[in-house]
Amino acid sequence: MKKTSSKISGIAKILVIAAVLIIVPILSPNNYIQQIINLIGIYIILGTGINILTGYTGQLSLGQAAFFGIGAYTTALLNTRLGQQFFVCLIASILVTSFFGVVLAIPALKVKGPYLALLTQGFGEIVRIVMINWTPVTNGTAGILSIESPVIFGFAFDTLPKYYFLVVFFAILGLLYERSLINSRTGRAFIAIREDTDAAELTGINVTTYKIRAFVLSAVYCAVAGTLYAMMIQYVSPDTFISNTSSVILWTAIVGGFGTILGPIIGGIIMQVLPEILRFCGDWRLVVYGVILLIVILQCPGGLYPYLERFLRFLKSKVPANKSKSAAS
Amino acid sequence: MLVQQILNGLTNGSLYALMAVGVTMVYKSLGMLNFAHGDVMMIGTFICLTLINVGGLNVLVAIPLAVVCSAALGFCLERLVLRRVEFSSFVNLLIATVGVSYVLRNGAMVLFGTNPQKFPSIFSTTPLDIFGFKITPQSIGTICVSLALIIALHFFFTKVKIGKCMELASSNPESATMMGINVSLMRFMTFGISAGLACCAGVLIAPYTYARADMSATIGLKAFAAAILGGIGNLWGALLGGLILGVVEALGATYISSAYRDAFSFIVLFIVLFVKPTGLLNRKIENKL
Amino acid sequence: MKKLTALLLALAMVLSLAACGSSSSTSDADTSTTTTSETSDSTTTSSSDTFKIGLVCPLSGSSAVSGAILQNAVQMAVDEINEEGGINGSIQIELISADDEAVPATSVTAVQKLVEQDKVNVVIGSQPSSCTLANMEITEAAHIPQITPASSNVSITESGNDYIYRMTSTDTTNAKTLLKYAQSLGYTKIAMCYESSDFGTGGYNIVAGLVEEYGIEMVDSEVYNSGDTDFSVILGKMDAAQPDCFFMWGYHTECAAIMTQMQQYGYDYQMIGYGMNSPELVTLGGDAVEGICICTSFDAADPDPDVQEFDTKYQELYGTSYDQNGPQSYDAVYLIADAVERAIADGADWSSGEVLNEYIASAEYTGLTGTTTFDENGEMVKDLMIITVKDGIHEIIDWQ
Repeated sequence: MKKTSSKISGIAKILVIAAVLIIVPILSPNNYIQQIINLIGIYIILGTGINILTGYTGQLSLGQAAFFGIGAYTTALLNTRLGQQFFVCLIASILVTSFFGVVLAIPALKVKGPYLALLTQGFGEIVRIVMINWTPVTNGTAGILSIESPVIFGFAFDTLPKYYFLVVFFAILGLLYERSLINSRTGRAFIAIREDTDAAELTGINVTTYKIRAFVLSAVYCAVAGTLYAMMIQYVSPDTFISNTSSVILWTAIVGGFGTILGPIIGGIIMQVLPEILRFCGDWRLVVYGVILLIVILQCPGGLYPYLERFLRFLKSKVPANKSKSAAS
Repeated sequence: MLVQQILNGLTNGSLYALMAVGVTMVYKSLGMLNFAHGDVMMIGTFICLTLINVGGLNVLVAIPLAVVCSAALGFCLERLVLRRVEFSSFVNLLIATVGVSYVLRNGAMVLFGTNPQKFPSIFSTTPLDIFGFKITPQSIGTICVSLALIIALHFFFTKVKIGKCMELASSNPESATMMGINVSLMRFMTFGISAGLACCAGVLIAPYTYARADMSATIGLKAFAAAILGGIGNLWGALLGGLILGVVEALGATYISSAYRDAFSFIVLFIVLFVKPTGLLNRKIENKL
Repeated sequence: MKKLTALLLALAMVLSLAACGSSSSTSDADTSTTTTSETSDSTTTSSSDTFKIGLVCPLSGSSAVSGAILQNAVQMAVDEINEEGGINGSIQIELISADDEAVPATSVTAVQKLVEQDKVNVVIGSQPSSCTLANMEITEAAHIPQITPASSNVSITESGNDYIYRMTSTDTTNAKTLLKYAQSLGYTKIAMCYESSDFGTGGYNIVAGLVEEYGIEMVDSEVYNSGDTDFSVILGKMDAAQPDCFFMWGYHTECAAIMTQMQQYGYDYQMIGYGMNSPELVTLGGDAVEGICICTSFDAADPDPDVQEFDTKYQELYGTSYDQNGPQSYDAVYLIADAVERAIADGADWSSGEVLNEYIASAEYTGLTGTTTFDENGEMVKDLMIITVKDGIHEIIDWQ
């Protein structure tokens, strides 16, 4: 009896989630709000990527914007120069960014802590300087215009509400993959490396390959986000992929809760919505934003996820009696 | 051209060295890199400029006052922000300094405006002709002051009692505590001194770069690169690292590409971290790596 | 269960954003009705009682000072017109500003807000070319005219967008004026330094392409980055190429530093350039910038009484300096007002974006920056002048 009840509640869960997700674009009153929602989705993907690298494997990265940018530029170039469409761009972005993921991983193997942060930040800066100065390819600070919307199997994702579903699809895909990864052997190896690298080495885990894998995975997530971003804004330029963007990506994962699956979702929402809500602060907007983030990090070192957990537990404690009754009948 | 560029490189390098010293002091004491160091420098510079422009003070009077204010800022940051985060994960400590940097920078933009502002130089800027090479008293003064400050610090840490206590508290907190030294107070002071040093670097740099809210953007990272190149935690390493970085940058810009100038520091950083992460002057393998 | 509630929480946040979004537009409508006068010639919808101008520019972040100039000048013009009763004596202007932080994606979001939530009739902005290039598609899709008073990248008007107009000089007109001036001084060899941004690179490409026509050879070119502080390397290389004069395409901060270092290293060359015309140039550069020749469409040294009046009033109201984007933005507002008045005179419906667009396209407005008309791409057609710095003061050169 219990098995079927949990099966029913499992399907019910999925249906409700699907319904909620579908309602969102219908409820959003205009493109302004829809764009923010889509960006939330993209940052959830970015946040999940860094969550795998830093939250689960403990490799601190302040250079994720570089991967994001490489992914976005690869898509931009393939689409505007060679006329390639969505899937080709996506796969190419993933391959190119993964390559750079390995490039960064190799020196990163040798260092940790603040050195790693510095290394990744330096990597981010080098990539940005190349974006600005390698004008024949990247078009320098002018950026690349007129990137096309994705056309998949003849269906054009050319409006923001339509694009929303594309972003949601990849966000969910990314989250599901992360969940299966964490529960797998690779995931456990990641966590072991985070907790105590030397001990992990001693138990026979090949720290080198797993670290490289973590970097490449986070790069893949950034590549997907980059492709989605490029085809949504339809314009890429170096000033989008600055070190502040890397900070925002890191904050997305921290504010939500490092090392949790839902953390980046909360983080993504807060990091994108907060600056918009704070528009009334005028000149002081960014200062207030920074102060709020500082307070969150100082007061809630585990991110906001524990509060969500508590809230959920509270809700759960109110429901069990009714649920088991209805299931039994 | 070559000698001229080396001279330029040494001038810039001595500034990187001064910044690197502040960075290395904090690292030694707290085991972390302070990502807000560059912005503390910037705030110190603006405090000094405000004292000069609004307070009508003479440059030579304003500078020491600004240094004291910066040190006070450093103390506040240590108390308010760092102490809170110290015991939670190290990532949080780092990200807290990134947050502080963000707030300081944007706060400065609102308070002082985003227009670069002229900053008076203590030394004259009329070029001197020495053996056919042009160098300004400003350059010479910058190099001398930086060297003097670093030498003074060396004496402070090795000969003066408080300095020796601070040094011990940084390198070996357990022994220090056993000897009755208040380690936490020492850390607090280290941070303050590092902030004061940053301000010194700022007032020396600003005549070249103008005082601007985004001053810290490139010099922040270069300071770290210099500190690591020379050997983190090592005072003379910071000096050596800074000077080498300055010269490498100048020569790279001359002979390779002036547009990619800023990238040279990061490339040097990459190479150092890859080949010898302990830096040039450190012999022991640091556990913190 | 966990996932569900998390998503519900997310939904709640999104809805609250939507709520605050829609509530702000209703509050805008409230203020607009209070400023409408009864004699307004309105149709049945309330939006035609006021004319809404949307301004997008950087108001925070590192480009805030450039954006503030647009904000200040536009606000000044709007207030002046409203004090006289409004456009055509009866239609009040409501100015809605949106900050884009000089980030293209944020600029897109900002213009979307202006167009869809605030429902503006026209957009002015942005200042950085990268932002204008990103956001002009929004106004094009919504059929709302957009005037940029500051973005100089040529792609803006060459992209086939029928709703974008530019009220700042292009690189081509500036380059031609500068080269003609250099030619008139008898220079045949120039060395050029330029900023690595699209502004500087665009300028360099055009100058390099035009030099031959003026009998000039470019013997060296060097690029620098915005925010660079040490120019000894590029100055050394430019000097080594032995030109007759230096050309520069960049902004005043770097220009002041470059000319200060030229003085320090003893490089004595005439400096000719574009982009650095700002009162800050003398403030930062002091006597090092004496004698520089700059091409510009506007300068406060112009004895024209309207210019002087603008300059005095701007200084009184805001107490800060401004560059040519200020008067260009000011003229943009008046040009728009003029277009609306011509539409009313013809009995046309100016609240329609397409109609307003036609009247802006056919504008011929004389203001602070001379007479402005637009060509078929929305490019401004105007004459330029050369100014120099003498004893720390700007002076217009009479050389033609």
